[in-house]
Amino acid sequence: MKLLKQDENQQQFELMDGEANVLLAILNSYPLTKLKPVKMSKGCLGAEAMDREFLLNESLKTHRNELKKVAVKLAKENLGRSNEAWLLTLNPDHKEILLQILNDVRTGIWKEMGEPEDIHLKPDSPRKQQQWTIMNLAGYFEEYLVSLT
Amino acid sequence: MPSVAEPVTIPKPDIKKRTESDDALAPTFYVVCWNDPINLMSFVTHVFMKIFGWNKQKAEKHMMEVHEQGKSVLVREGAEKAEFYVHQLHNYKLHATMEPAE
Repeated sequence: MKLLKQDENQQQFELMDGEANVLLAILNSYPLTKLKPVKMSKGCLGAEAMDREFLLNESLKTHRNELKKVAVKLAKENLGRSNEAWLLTLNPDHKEILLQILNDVRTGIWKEMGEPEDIHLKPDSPRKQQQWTIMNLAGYFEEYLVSLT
Repeated sequence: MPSVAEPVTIPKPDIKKRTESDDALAPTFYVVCWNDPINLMSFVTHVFMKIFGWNKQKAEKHMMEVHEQGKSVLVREGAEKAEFYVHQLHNYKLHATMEPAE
């Protein structure tokens, strides 16, 4: 993946076949993992705080559904083959959403793997190895996109 | 001759006007970001810049606090705004909570 051109409105990247296929697979199969409930506070929870926590988790479900819609749209409209190359075109909003999608994939897989402290350690089971590979591939795109912000 | 009752003065209700000092007494919360091994340092910096509008230097300072000390207090805000920031941070999958500020 490399940056071809950019202006204030958009960035355009060229992807190799393998990269494009992986990104398409991630976008089309997003979210890949189940959403786990999160805590709003580390402290004790009163009724008000529990309401806040409920709202946060509901909001995250809604947000994920929105991301899923955009993921499909990005795969369809923003990533395509032009002559010999795969081109990914992102405006700033698309880029933020793609970053959220990629990080949701990474953190979601990490949680399903049991939140290992050493994320570089390849797991033993074939199923976890597959997840671990997707986690790292999502990280590859994420790291490159962040480096260009 | 009928006696005339003395006028009774009804005490004025003690209605306090809402003032800035009352707002200052409203509960405030720390928005805290917690460390985890999965979020990339560059990504965390990016998210802080995006959500709080910080420059890179300030965002990196807080990211390093998270990384080295296990957490960083990002802002102190009223309940509504603190809640908003926690939602935003979770949208990016950062581990954030709001804790009562004493």
